[in-house]
Amino acid sequence: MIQQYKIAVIGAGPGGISAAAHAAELNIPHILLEASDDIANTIQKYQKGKHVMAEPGILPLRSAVTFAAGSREAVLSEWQENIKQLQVNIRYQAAVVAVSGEQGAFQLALKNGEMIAAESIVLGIGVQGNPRQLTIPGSDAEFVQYSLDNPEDYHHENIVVVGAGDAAIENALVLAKHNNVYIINRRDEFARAKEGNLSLITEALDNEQIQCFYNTNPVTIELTPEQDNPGVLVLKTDAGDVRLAIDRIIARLGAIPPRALIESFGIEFPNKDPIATPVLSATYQSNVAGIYVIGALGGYPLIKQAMNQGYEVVEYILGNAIKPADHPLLANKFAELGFALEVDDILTMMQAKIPVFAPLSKLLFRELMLDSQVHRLPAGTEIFKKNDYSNSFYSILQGEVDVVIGDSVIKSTEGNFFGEMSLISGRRRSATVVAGPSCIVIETPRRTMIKLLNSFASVKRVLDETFIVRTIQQKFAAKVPIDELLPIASKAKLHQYAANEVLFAEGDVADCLHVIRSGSVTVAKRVADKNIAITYVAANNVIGEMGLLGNTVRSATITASVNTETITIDSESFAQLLEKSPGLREAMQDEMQQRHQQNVELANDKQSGEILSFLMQQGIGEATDVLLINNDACVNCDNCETACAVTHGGTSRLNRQAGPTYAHVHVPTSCRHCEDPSCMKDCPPDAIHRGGLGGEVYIDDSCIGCGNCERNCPYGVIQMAYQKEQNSNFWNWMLFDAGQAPGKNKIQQGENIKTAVKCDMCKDVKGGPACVRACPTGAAIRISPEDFINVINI
Amino acid sequence: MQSILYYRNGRYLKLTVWFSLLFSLVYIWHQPNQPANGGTWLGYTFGTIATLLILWLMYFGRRKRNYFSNSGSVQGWLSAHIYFGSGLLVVATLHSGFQFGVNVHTLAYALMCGAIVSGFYGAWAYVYLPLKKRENLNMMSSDEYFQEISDIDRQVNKLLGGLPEPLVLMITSAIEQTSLGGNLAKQLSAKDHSCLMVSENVMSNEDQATCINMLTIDLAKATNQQLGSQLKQLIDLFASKSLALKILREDIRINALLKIWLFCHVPVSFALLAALIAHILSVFIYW
Ligand SMILES: Cc1cc2nc3c(=O)[nH]c(=O)nc-3n(C[C@H](O)[C@H](O)[C@H](O)COP(=O)(O)OP(=O)(O)OC[C@H]3O[C@@H](n4cnc5c(N)ncnc54)[C@H](O)[C@@H]3O)c2cc1C
Ligand code: HEM
Ligand code: SF4
Ligand code: SF4
Ligand code: SF4
Repeated sequence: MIQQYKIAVIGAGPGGISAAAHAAELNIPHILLEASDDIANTIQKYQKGKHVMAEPGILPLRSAVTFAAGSREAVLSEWQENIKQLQVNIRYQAAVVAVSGEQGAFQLALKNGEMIAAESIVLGIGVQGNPRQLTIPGSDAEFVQYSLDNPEDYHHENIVVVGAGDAAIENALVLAKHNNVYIINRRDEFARAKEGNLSLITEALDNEQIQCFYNTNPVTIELTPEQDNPGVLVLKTDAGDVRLAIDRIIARLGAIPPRALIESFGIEFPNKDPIATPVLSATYQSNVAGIYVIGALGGYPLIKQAMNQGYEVVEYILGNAIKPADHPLLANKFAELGFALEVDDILTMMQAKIPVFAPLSKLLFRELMLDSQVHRLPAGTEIFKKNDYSNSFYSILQGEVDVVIGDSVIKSTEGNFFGEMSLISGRRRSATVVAGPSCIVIETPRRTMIKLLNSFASVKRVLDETFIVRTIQQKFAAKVPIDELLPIASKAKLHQYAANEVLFAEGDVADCLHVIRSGSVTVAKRVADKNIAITYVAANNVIGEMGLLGNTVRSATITASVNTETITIDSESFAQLLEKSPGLREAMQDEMQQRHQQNVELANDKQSGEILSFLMQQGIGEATDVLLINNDACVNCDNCETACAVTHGGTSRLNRQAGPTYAHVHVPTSCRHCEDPSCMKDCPPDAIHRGGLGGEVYIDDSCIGCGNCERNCPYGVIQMAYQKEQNSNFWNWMLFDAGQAPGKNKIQQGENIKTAVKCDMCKDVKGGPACVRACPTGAAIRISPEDFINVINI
Repeated sequence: MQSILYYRNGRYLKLTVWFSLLFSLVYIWHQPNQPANGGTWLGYTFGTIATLLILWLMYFGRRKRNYFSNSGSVQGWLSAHIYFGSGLLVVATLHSGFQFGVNVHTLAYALMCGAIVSGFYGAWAYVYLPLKKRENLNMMSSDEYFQEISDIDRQVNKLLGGLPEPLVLMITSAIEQTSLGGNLAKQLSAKDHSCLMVSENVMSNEDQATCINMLTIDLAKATNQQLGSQLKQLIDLFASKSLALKILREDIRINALLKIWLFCHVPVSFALLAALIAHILSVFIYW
């Protein structure tokens, strides 16, 4: 007899628990199915004692289950308590492997073959996926494990780590401190690991701290209870079988992403992007009627959000149109607009008025508006200025704005958008925008927009097309109306180049010019059979026009220094532009002459070229502001680091000695404030921002310490650090040796978690970068890549 | 490049030169009815200026550590410190009216000269030593040299297989007893104190020379081709290691030089402060 429920909740994460608890509260026949043998597997896997944060602070919690910030252990035991009290019907080790049927009569198949029937399904299985298991004979032995909680628990053991990803490498490295560690790699290199881990593991292997078996597969595990080591692992290597006596196996084979499973239920995703989330209605219902998706899987990456949705989804299933918990937040946001409309009606109106947002589902648009801000602006207000370093995206809900480029003003009206150029290039604003009469604009943060561009091809297309026309107008034909430029724009093409890819080479026939849309390039000339880098060109600039104007061949080789996107305009279109814009030819010729001269000078300076190439190899092409140290003046005093520590709660955000050196230029480890910061890509509470006049990338107080940014930064400049104590008074230290020396603050006792810290360009320190101002000899400087040429010549 | 000496086109250099000239001219113009000394009105004026200067020079130790401060940059302060500190020599000497003796006044003057002379050394060190340091390191960082040395040691260890026992003992002892750095005297002398053991005797292994020597002797005697090539590789490795060690020793020496003078400059400055207080008190008490 198949058990029959009204609601089956799959996954006992915070979302699932909250849904099941609310169902239990309402005495609805329900079941909560959890694959592992404890609740909230994702949270079980946090490091021991981790402080779990209750972000976002302004969002109220609405759930039958309690939740407040606290240690991992406290949060979990509280939930267990709640589950017991409310008599939630929970089943462990009940992984759901298939779903069939339809609304009102779903059939859920469990891993052990059992079937369960339910009218509605709530899916809250998160995005972590289930760890891929070892499937060789003997892999059910108790010394085979799939995670590493506390490396300090193991000493003097023979441990085999299976896998070649970051998790495997990180585990092997910590365990190697006190154990004899082997790592098993199916391939002949560690291709999937990130740079930092790769160099650490290579070093450990060179030092013979860890032993690696390449091109090797585990075959069987034999139990040897009567011997010193509980088992023997048999390996198949190129050189035949190897037997290892072992105490422990840690398999880090990655996770099976839940997507395939979910798609097998019939749920659709908008595209192939691995971070895409399923298409959902405003009531979290998927395209399969009766299956609801909540929590991280639905695109809401925080615990409180997941819990609120758990509560709401049960109400929706019951047919109650309650307002989501975030309703007051939106109501607040819209209050200043003074519309006499309900929140939902305002949302509908906005989507109807602004065509770029039309393709979004209601739920996604709601989410977008939660992230966005609405501004009602008095006429004449500057929304942003040319050269500002903001990169949010604006759409006009009502009224109009003036876009000021040089001495020409372009009007943009209701339903249009602006600010997409900096959004895409990550560079300074290229125009000033001023509000017109009765103007209301919606400001959407970059991260939200990037997510949108990745999931909606149509939105991306609209933005790209607009970008091209506006670029052409801005660069070459400020006075020509957009309509006249459309035919030219339609012939322009978007190109993508990987780092080190050549856009065109010296001597090629010049047939088009490039406008750099994002990324940057280096310009190199052949001198005595060697390509010497002569300069660097950042996003938002034009290259290749020299050849077109002179109708000649290319006079230099252009190489992408990082992933770069350009727009090309062919010579015919360019001739048309020259015709339409009197004066353009002269202006460009002037600039060309100057550049020619500069190029000749730079090409003769071989060392500058070599230093420039070196800097580009360090990935500085994507930096907007980087700390460099002139070794010819550095006196090793470490005042720069102390200054940073003192002005930033005791933890220095720069490491002077680390980092590469070439000639007199040293690149210490410190944030480069990238154009397109990788660190920002996956921050659950969205704590990393870019802002201010300097365009600094900084982390705010809502960091939950998950470590994603530390892993995602390709330059290893983010550290996870404990909060430190305030330092004692300077004079007390100086005169009476009381307390800590400046910058040597003690770690705070008591509840204290590691959070991410990085250089914030001293945005809160009056006077700007403390490291630079504290350097007694002027060796430390912070500059943007456009100014590299000056530094090299110092 | 803007070195501390030419900070803002030598703004503080110019100021110091002009003021020194001005003060000297006033000193020559001034004809007191007693021999020139600290007791004339001009003497008092110079004395006051010198005292304030000394206090301000000492305050640099605070400014340098006030990382929130917005009064100029530390680089600017240092440039001013260097030139005004040098200018102090002129002001204080004019203040003394060239009257020296064996007393607390002259002690204060001598200590001041001590501070200034050590300061001169420091300024020279700050400008010149970084260049020497880079020249010595030759395109690599010290971290990379340490890396290289541990790489070499690892390769040497891999090559030991099949070598005669005494040779293996000699080589491992050479690796173990390689010395680098140490106390201040050792850092400054940059002398190589490395040793090795040859049949229970400790011998100096300066620049890895003994080790290389012994290996060459064995190489000359070697008849077996395999052994010969092994020894050749070892000799090359120790030669590279000796070079890297030499560079690191020089780097350590320069780092020490950049630091140690402050251990003289600062205490002398504090001693000066004490003597200055004594000097001023005694002048007022015995007036
Ligand atoms: C290191 C780290 C630190 C974090 N810190 C915080 C923080 O401090 N504050 C915060 O708000 N958020 C934090 N987060 C994010 C937070 O953990 C997630 O947003 C939250 O866990 C998502 O909840 P969920 O219910 O959607 O899914 P999950 O918590 O991922 O739960 C899914 C559950 O479903 C189970 N499951 C999976 N597949 C099946 C199946 N087929 N059948 C049955 N059950 C299945 C899993 O075993 C798991 O128990 C952090 C994330 C990480 C990785
Ligand atoms: C009587 C005169 C002087 C006094 C009292 C004095 C005092 C000081 C003090 C207190 C410091 C701070 C050291 C520290 O805290 O680390 C200092 C640093 C220094 N002084 Fe002087 N000084 C004097 C003259 C000079 C002169 C004449 C020069 C150079 C020509 C000079 C060069 C320096 C230098 C280079 C530093 C090091 C700065 C640093 O490392 O940050 N000083 N001095
Ligand atoms: S933390 Fe790393 S990824 Fe982020 S801006 Fe700085 S250097 Fe770039
Ligand atoms: S700019 Fe400020 S935060 Fe950044 S490294 Fe320098 S002192 Fe630290
Ligand atoms: S503060 Fe300047 S001189 Fe001192 S260590 Fe840093 S870069 Fe070098």
